[in-house]
Amino acid sequence: MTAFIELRRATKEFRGIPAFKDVDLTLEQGEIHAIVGENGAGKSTLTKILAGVYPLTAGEMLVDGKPVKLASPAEALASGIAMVFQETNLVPSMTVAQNIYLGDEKFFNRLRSLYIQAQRFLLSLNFYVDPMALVSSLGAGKKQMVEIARAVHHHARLIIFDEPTATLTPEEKFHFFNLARRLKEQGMTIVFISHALEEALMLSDRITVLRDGEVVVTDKTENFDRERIIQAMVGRTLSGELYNKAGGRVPRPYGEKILSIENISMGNTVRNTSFSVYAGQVTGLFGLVGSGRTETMKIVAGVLKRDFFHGGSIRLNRQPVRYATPRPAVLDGIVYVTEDRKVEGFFETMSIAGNVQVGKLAKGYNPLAVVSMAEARDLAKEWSARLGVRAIDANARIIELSGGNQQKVVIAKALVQAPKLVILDEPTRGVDVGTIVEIHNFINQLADSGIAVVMISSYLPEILALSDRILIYRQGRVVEEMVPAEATEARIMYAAVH
Amino acid sequence: MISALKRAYAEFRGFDVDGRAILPMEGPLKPNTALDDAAVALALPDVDSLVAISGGLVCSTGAELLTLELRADPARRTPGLAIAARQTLSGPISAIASDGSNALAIGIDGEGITILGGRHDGRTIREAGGTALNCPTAVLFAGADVLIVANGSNMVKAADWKRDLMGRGRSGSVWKIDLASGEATVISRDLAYPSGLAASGNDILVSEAWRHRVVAFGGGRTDAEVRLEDLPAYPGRIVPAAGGFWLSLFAPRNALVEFVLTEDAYRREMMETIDPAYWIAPALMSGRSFLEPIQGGARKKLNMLKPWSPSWSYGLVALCDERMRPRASWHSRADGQVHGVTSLAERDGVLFVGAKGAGAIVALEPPRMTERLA
Repeated sequence: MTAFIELRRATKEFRGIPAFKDVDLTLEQGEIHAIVGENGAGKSTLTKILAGVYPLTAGEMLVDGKPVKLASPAEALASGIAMVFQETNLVPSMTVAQNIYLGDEKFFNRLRSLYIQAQRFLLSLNFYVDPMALVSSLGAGKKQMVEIARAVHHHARLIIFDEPTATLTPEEKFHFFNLARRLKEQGMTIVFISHALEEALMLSDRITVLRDGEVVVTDKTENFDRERIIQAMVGRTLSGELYNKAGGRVPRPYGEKILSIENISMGNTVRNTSFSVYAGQVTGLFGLVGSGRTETMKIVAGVLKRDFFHGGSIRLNRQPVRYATPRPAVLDGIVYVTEDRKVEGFFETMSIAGNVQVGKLAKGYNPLAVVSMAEARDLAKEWSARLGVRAIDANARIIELSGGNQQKVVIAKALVQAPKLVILDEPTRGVDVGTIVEIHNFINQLADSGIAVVMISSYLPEILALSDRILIYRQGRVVEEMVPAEATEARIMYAAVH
Repeated sequence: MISALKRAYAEFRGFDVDGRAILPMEGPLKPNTALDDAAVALALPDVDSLVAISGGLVCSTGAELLTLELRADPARRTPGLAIAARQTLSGPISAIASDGSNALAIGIDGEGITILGGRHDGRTIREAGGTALNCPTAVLFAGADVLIVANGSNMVKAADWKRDLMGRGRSGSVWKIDLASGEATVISRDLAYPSGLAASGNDILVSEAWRHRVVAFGGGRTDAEVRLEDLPAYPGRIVPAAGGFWLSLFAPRNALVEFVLTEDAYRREMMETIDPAYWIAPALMSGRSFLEPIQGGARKKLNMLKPWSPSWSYGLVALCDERMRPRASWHSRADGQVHGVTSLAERDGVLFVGAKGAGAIVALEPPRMTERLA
């Protein structure tokens, strides 16, 4: 029997660096196929290839046994392949019905008939979503239903979900699982990426494990258990050179206790968690997406607010602190380097000098309200040299820099504030290999100079290579602490999942 | 008025104004099983007040003062202990200090301090500055003729420490007593059960158990300087170590106990009507009677108590640097046996840990200590 979709020796490279290589993958009609792997394993790129977002560098893709070259998502959709991204592609200011039929409108449209049509269509899928509701008013689960309805409307035979349950409530997850099973019964193929292994085990028919851009194993779900998946996910051979400090490293001694987090709570995301951070150490926070690591540290930095009642307390250098906005936190010496630099990290139309100067302005009061651009350029030059930012000069616009250099500028923008506590959220996400080494060296220098560093990372080798203590998050709280001597990738992953 | 309003608002919002939040055992206090792994040097029920003297160790069991000698054991890396002499005193012994030569200051629970040996042999001090020394929890020689005494409580004896905790006792005091002149000077009053003493330069370090902290007095300061706070267990005796101090923590803090401490009516009735052994309160040893309330937080699986389950008792020894920052720790967890560590003594590079709850003295191996310090 011919497979519905087949990838043969598929390779995708970005600037010569392979995201995955020589991947063989088959997807059968009417199966639910889970793709699991660590961050950076190549899962998202692989699914984007299937969805026509990227072309293959080498190898071939076959649909119904025929070779195809998908140049765009629209072409993929025409071949019956649709993808539901982590951030939905819906237009929030339009109604559900308008979103479903977007791009498929007739010359003359009658809204009333559009809504009736959409209502019928949604009910045929057992989706109880109001077609007249604005998408912006919907929850994450309902938005996903609209995305799926749109895909089905376009006669998709394969729907790819990238982390479909990351933003869903438990009830919404339940509905999603039922929906996936119904779609499968209708003969549709579902591919989903998930960090939650129990979901993969519960829902899928087959599981493919990716590691370092290679398929480690593809097998029927009944042949897997949690331990086998974890072992396949974290067994590592390629990153030894980059993350060569893992294992046998002597951790730095405990300095002063800089930060105490006591019973902090924020809704269902951060649940009554407590831990401390010490000066002169890198405290690594590991957890799966949605485990509450980022939110906890954003509460510390004043970006988010903890629960109004019984939200816990935070003490910085023994003094209780409570920040409604980030600025007082910055003034007290706390900086947070965001995981999403493009949205929260920098002003893309400004220069390197401008961005670094903005960081400095956040720290101090400028009574004259006059900014010396010469001073800003000198400052940018100094930090560019310290961090090795590769740009023509300090006037270069940050948007024109590579991801790694952008990240360095974001770090410089934070460190110019002379912090006591630096929170780095996914410091090497979307950064090339060479820059990762530079950023890691700089993080080590920060800790060696006595600054308390908190590093949030989803990448285990990074956590193992840099952390003096590893705190593992699960379901909104720290569930395990490990020192480098006892930490292994399998143990950390086990604690984060179980 | 304003403070009452502030307090009411804080309680409304759920702020921790009384330091009731219990930080987890983490960082340098990360749990391990080192105390359970250590060799038992001597099984001695009710062992307390272990102190190193020239030629060996002394300790107490009830009213008996025991002299212990070290015995090399070829089968083990650490020496064993044997009882060399026994002496019965007038009452239960609650603290012992050595002057480094041949004098011992011995706290007798409910009576005061008795000096054995040395220039002031036979002398008994029953009160200081009008305060009866009925609860001597720690004694320290600060010179041949100067004694520092921690009186845990004005209200109860040392053996009744649980009543002081659950009664929210704040009547402890620390005294400096000149043995030559008999003059007593108060160092601090209104302490929440001072239970350990050590000299640190010109300062006196005091473990304030019910406030779960270690404070320093002296050095020209009028107020106490907090050296270590937010401990997850109640601190007890402090013993000098190379480059720092050993700190024993005799019982774990527990969220349920912290809650009961806020419930006055409940606590009063519990204290009036129930045997202290079965109170909702920390203990030096637990799990021996089915009458104990919610043993191990009911976290028993397949008849095994999980090591992370909340427990009324625990074993914990911390090594702190000269600024009382914890550097390493040795634990006996909820499912362990070496609970209720009340005294420590270092001798010939071996740390002897007196676990009153377990009724045993265990010896920590020197390599293990250096490893932890590295």
